[in-house]
Amino acid sequence: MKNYIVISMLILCAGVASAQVKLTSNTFGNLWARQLGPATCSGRITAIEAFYLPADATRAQDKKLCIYVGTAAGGVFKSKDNGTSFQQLFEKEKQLSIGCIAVDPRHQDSVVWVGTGECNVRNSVSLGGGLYKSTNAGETWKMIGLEKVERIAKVALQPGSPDVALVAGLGALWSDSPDRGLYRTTDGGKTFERVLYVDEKTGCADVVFDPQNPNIVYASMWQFRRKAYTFSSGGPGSGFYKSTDGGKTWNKLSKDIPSGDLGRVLIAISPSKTNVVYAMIESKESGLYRSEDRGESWKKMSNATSVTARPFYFSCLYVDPYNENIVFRPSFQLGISEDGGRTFNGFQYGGGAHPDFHALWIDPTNPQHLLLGTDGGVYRSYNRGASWAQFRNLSVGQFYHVSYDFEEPYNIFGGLQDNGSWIVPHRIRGGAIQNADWQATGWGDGFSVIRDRDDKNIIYFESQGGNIVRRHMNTNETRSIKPFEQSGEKKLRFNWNAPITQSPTNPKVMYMGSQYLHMSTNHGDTWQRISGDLTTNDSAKYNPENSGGVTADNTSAENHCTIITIAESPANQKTIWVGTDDGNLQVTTDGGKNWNNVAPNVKGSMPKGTWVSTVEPGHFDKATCYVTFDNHTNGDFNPYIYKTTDYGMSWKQLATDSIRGFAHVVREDLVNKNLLFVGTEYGLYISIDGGNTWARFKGNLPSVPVRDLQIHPRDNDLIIATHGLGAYILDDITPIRNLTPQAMESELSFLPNRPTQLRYEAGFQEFNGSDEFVGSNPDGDAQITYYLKARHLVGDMKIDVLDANDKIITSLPAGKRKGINRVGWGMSMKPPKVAASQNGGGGNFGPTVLAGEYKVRITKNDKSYYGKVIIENDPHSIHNKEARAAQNAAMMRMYSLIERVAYNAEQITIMRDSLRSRAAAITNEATKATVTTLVQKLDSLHKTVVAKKSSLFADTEPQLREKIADIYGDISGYAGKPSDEQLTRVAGFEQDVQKLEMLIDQIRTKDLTQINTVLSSNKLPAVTVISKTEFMNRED
Amino acid sequence: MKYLSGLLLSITLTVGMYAQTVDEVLSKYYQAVGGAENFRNIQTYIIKAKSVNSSGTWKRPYSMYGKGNKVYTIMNAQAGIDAKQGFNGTSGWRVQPWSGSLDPFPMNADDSKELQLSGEQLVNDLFTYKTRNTTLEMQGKDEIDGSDCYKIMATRTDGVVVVYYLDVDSYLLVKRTVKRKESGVDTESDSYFSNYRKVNGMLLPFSIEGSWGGGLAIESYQINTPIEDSTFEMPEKK
Repeated sequence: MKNYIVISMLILCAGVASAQVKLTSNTFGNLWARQLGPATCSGRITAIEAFYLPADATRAQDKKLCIYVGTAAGGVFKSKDNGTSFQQLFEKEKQLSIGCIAVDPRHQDSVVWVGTGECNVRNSVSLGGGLYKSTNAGETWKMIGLEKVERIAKVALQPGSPDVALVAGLGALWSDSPDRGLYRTTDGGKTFERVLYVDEKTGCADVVFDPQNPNIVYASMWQFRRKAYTFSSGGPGSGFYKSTDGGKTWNKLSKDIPSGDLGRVLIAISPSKTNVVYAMIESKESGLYRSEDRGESWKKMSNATSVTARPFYFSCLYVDPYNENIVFRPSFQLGISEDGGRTFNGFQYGGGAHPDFHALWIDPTNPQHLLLGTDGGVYRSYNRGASWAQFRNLSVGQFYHVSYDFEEPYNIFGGLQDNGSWIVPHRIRGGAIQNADWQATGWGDGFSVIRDRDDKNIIYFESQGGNIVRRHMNTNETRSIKPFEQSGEKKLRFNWNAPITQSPTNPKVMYMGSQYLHMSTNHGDTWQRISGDLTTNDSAKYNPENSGGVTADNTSAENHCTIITIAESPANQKTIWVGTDDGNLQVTTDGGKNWNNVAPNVKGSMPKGTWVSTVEPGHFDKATCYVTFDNHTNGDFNPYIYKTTDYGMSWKQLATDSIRGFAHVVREDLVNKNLLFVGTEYGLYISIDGGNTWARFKGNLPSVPVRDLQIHPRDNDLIIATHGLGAYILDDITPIRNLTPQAMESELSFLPNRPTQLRYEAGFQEFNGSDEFVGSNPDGDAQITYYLKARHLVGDMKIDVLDANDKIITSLPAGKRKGINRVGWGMSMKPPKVAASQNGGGGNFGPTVLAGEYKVRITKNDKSYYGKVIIENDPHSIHNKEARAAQNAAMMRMYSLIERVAYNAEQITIMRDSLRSRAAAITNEATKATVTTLVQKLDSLHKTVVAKKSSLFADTEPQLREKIADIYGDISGYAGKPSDEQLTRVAGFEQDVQKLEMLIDQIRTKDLTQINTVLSSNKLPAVTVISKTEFMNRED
Repeated sequence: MKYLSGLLLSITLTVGMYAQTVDEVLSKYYQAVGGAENFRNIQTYIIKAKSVNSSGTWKRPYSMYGKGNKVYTIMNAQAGIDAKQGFNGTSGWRVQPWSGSLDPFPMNADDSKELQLSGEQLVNDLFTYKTRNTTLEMQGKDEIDGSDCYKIMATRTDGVVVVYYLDVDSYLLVKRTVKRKESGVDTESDSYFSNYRKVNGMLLPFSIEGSWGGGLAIESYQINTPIEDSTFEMPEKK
């Protein structure tokens, strides 16, 4: 009681000083988000570099391939075992979008360059910012320069002098930039000089050294620009260049080069005959061009679709290391020419690899061996692409949205860039989340996926441009339910990522947005428009058929003047918020009869017309709404996060300098209105004071784009949809909900958790090797959570779990880090004392405790702090209270039996071994024989109690100890009443143990007493046995 | 020539700055833990502890004996099952009762090395680097468990790299990462130190936790208690 008073006083005192509290990333301590996957469909790969690790002197036969993989927005991964397993390398860096990787050929085991910023510049591409270098094989990275260059397409290390490098700075996608161009370093990246620059619209897209003559270099400049509503490839800035002085000066090539504006130019040199150079030149005459005189003259070889397709997205070209006529052109397929580029293989995907190819590595020792980077991960071929094996260990998927259902375990639903729509349980009973647990449910690019709360047999998913589909899960039948324009009307405008949502107040109602808000009450069979055109309807911004520039490209990615986010207020069904991609923020308070564009009421620095990325109506007040705006399509990467409490009449900016990156999503907690979550292009941010202060959550979650967030109302988990590393879950946000300034001011403060469910889930026999990604299940232990103001280093700190009588059930190592500490308790009593044996069995584990509330005591030096954990029965358990009590009673009977056997075995051992040593000292043969007879009797008895050797290799028969342990294990693993068969066996063992005890009593009181008399007459000490109390208290 | 002089000066200053920084940090580390000499004078040690898992379901008696580079550990995994390991300065051995035998058998070189390194929790590279020609490199600061630490990398002549993380406020060792090759494959293991208490004038950790999810709850240290060399030798088969 005294302790409680002291703690309360401390908390009160701390509260006075709460103004000093500062939320930081460290506040969240060891809370961590678990990564779920999927790796089965992986994600977009942007760069691959590989080399054979130098063989150890003592292992000259070793041939291990080291592979570096760059991803669209998940960073860099490295394998040192031919791709069997990968390690994430870039997780501490500021951005995870990778443009290129180069390994120093002189120091392959240490020096790696990484240019950030993907250069396959599609609409959803992430951001980079600078050139990184590692001198310890990727263990740590240093940003060495070009920080303002948003995208780096290539780092070309000069053959023979890799400290000399040319860096292709493609630069900004969404704006002009004076920082583009081709840069040169001669000191390994300490300094850079820009050696080729055209203008603010034109970046360097490629650079290639002649491998045999480092003075000869080729480079391409590319004028390009993406806007929210159009993409343009090509212009007068584009050009194809050659240098003959190692890249110091450049000449624009013109002979045989197509006239007019060029687009993107891709370059490849034959390593075996470096006079042969290929270029895929995007122009009105797009095609593959070949030079046989080091670029002085060119001949067009092919205009096959596989060669010219989407240069902005398929941006690489390769030549076989030994044959100058074999050309590789990754695009929709892996185009391969064997005749110098004149013809290519037909349009086929080839061996099942995911289409859309962005990177290729050709084994210089065996050109049949390829590593291919696609929209669906990395593939390996040993027959030059005829068949492929996927690396199923890279979880780099790009989710747009995520949702959940209320199954137990609940499922997560989400759509992935170029990888369709997926479902996965958030945990697997008795296992972990494997690739096979991910179930595909849609196609194309995936976005919103929703399980109908009115009919859980129905799943809605969509592909790009609003192609919504209803799937009936019991039959797998699908129906397109996309709303259509009315006869004579202009085409409906659906965003690339068209919004679909279900009403939080009425599960029969769902919404979808084109330029209108559509509502359905019959699962999408019919749609009712409940608004007029809610966009600016600016026809100048709606011409997707004219998008693409030199190469037309109309895939709905540039659809504009569309609704992009919809949310009905959970506090009032008639209040609906809608945001558009052209800056309108509309609200209705009468179910759609009247709409009010409140965007103009947002004051401050946010530019007019800024894309509304998410609307989040408040859960506690119908007039409240949170909104994120995203202006990155105008080159503005600032976060814009606003809150209104008056239906949009006025707005408060919530973004602070602590938040980095443009904002995709904001969510208000369902319980604590001051707890807010924001996902930006660079990670997850949390506020516990209503948005006044923010801190990035870093627990196992790098600076990856966070596109969507959902809070599971029942399980209190935060579900995180990243656009680069798949899905994550931050399990149980209850401690964060209760992280008050007072708690943060105290030296140690307990934080509540959700109750832990006692689950009896058997595992599976699975031996899948190391080559598949496995997502974690949530920790099944009861969580003890507390906040520590500072790291504990000096003095004792430990955790005791206590029963109702304050008796210690178990002690745990305490978490000692600054911030929130979460420590798991396995919810079991201490193990029974088992009979000594070489056999590892014997029931050496504690029985699971019963559900209930348990006191927790943390001792930190001379202070004690008290908290509690609550354990509940699995609500889906098939057992009632009586059945559980029966199991517990049987378990405790077995627990007692194990300890009784242990004590009796110990008595036998003591008597046997003591008498054996006495016998050795007895000279009288008759006496010796008497003693030896009892030794043999005890030894025989011991062999009926304890198996003589380990049962590991089945070289012995289990005896009483092992048999009891077996049934103890069986009964412990099932939460219900033990079977009659089991209970009969328990009763039988109780009789056996009772007989054993009687026999030992008899030996001790009769045989041993007689022998002790004999020993005494031989002047030998009597043999005594240990008391039960002494035995139970003895530590062994 | 002027540039060369400048370059040399710059190199000298840089090297000097790093060396000084290491020395400064080490000096404060020594001061925090009770003086380097106390540690360098450790001839033998005996650690009595409980080996525990993180969820509290397992706790067993454990002892570690050390003498120079010799190590012996014994863990009572269960009544009747004592798991033992020894390293006699050149080779290692172990008894693994759960494998079906109480007979000792030799360790391979990788496991022997691991055992040897486990015996360097007290007298670590930060005390021995000069006598063992270990190179120490200051690598700035790194955040460990939410708090800043000085990061010192020790590159040893045996090819092992050990990274030490010292708390920036108390200068106590918080984490130790051992990097080495095992069967030709790079491996890493982490140890975390806390619950420091004074023993014989030295501040010693009474909690050592590993990245494997368990650790040692240390109950006592005996410093410079005589230990027979035979303790570390592989026993005869019984």
